[in-house]
Amino acid sequence: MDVVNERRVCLFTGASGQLGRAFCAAYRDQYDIVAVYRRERPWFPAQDARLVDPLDPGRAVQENAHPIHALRADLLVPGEALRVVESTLARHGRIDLLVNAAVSTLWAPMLGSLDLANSVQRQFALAVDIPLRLATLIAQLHWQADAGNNRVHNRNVVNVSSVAALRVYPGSGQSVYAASKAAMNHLTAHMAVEFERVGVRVNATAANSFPQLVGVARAAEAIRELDASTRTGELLVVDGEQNEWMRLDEPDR
Amino acid sequence: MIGLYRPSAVRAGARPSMPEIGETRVHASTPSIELLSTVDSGRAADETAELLFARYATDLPIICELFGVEQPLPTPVQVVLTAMPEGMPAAHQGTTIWCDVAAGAASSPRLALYSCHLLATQLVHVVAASAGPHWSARTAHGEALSRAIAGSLYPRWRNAWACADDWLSGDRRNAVAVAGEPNDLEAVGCASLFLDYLHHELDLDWRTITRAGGATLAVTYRRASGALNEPFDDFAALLTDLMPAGAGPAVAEPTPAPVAPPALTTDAPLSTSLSDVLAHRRWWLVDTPVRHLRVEDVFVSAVYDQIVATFRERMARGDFSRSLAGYDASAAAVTPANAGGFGVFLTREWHDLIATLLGVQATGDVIATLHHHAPGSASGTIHNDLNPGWFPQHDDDSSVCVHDPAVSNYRTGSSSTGISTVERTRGISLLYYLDTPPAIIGGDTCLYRSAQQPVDQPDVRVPPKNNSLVAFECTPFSYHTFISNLGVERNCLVMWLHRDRAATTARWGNESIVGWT
Repeated sequence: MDVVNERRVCLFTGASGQLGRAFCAAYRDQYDIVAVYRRERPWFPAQDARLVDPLDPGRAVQENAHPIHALRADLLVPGEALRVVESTLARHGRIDLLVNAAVSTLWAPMLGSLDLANSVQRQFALAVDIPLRLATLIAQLHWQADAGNNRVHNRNVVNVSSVAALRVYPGSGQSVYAASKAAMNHLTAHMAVEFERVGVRVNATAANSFPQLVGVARAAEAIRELDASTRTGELLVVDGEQNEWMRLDEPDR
Repeated sequence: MIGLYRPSAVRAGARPSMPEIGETRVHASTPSIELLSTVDSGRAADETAELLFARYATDLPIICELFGVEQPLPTPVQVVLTAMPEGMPAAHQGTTIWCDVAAGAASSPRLALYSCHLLATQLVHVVAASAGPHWSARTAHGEALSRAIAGSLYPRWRNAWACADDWLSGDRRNAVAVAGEPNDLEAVGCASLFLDYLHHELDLDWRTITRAGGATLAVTYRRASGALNEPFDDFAALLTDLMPAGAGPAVAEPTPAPVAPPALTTDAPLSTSLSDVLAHRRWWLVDTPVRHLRVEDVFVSAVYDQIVATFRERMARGDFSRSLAGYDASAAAVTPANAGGFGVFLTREWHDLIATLLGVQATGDVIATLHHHAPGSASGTIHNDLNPGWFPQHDDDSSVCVHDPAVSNYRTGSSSTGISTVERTRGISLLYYLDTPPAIIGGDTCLYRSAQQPVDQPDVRVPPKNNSLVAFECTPFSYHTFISNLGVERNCLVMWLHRDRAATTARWGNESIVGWT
């Protein structure tokens, strides 16, 4: 098996967001991407969508090379996470990279907003429940039975966190969002420890606001960097001049 | 460093030089491109970078294919988005390209296409340099070709650097048999017109022209056409017939502005030839839940502006009436007599394009209606549009038969004028959105897998974005409806192409056709 030249299989949730679109744009020539979206599809050539030249419809359009596999799913609906994992495995036979980028965000002040409390369940579900559910389903259906190859293929999970998990931005209304991402960081640390046994690395990335403060291409590149690395249990902070690595299992970080 | 200069700056004798590039940040770095922006170019550059990166990936293969240059290029391209000096919005040196950023891109991402267009002009130079010396950026014809190709990729900006009038209003010297300088506006104007002559008059495609490049345009002409003559006299004679000396400007110049995209010319008569009016040539064809076309920025803005003008005239005239049972909208028929800006929709070229893309054997019979949904219009019910429609007998394959309610009844075929009519069934539904305030909430056209789905849980939502369209084949399963619009009105053109009733019956059975009640 030519591991070096093999296209990697990436299951990417939240693929119609800015980060998902940037990742697909930059790396669909290198990955077989299963792009999971809830409402608006990511507009890339896919198994059921292609670009045509209206004035010369018979002509091959070069942009259609490297199609993604677009998969519509509401991951909060019972059974949908399993369907996504099963569909990906049925199509590709393996998953080398799981990117948990689906998110539900409500920024609102604690005082005066009932919506904020009502959003807690959804925000935490997409930060903790779904990433955990997807990773464990993949482990159960695939990784646990293939532990030797997991290391050979450098298989891993990237959880998309935020710098909001590390800092307090007064007046931003990020309380619940930040708490959910902090929980995601701690989940990542534990998952890294527990998944080491089957040879799967687990990390997180935390970019500052993109595209306002950090280029979205740079945030996507961080996912690529995590996938290519050998690290586990770490957080790659994408902010400022240079990215910064942080260990997630150091309590005084 | 070779710059793309605004004609107005050259005429004024002002040829700005490159500013000092300040601190940069990296937006993307791949083996083929490094995309940077200067920090002082701000959020507009951030907004531009993502689109520009995607467009680079689509434009470069096209340009390379035109020149017969293989990818990847031998040297990676470095692109720097920055605030360029007034009069020089883009430049390149080797494979480093500097492009201006539209200040408005921070609030209107569409303006980011301005930088994409600029990048395309410079990419042509970079690729041409890989192909050989014949389209050098240091020649007038190399400069003209870069503008022509970039203009074909981004029609919105194709007149941005027009200097044809410099040649037309001068002594019309021969810049075809000799290679001019890139900053000689008369030579560039002549070369631009001659390239158009090769492409439009002699019907040579851009690939043929580009690959036939020679030391002069006359050599290119002979290589591309196989002819042996000197072409300038025929070319100049044609231009004299079309635009006699002293007839006034042929192409309006944009208003010079330091960073804002140039204005379009809108005073020239508008062509309905699709190659002239389509804003781009990349449409989405999607197979699920029903095969459909999705297109944003369908027409160049000059055409869209005329469409909106016609729509508003008809609204102001009170042409709309509420005659659609069970449908919370008012409507007005579009016919050849009142089409105005909508004329392009009633051409055979448009009909055949849509039918071909969706694979429908269409009969040439169309009905077109303008729909106006007042704010708060009720959602529709899920339906499939597989209805019958009657048209006058029509045997001319070169035109379309547009239904006119004054001539015959679409639902029954009866006619007060006694003409013979024939029954068709709807083959394609097309909705083109226009003149809808962007603050709209809802107003989507929704597509469904099943008629049993809740209306608010569609598989696909198509928002009513101005100058965009959705079109789908009418089948027993083309489930769709309109979703209530809140806040503001929603306006669109709805048109149907048709197929033989016998073809529909043969494919899905007679009972599949949904009769009028």
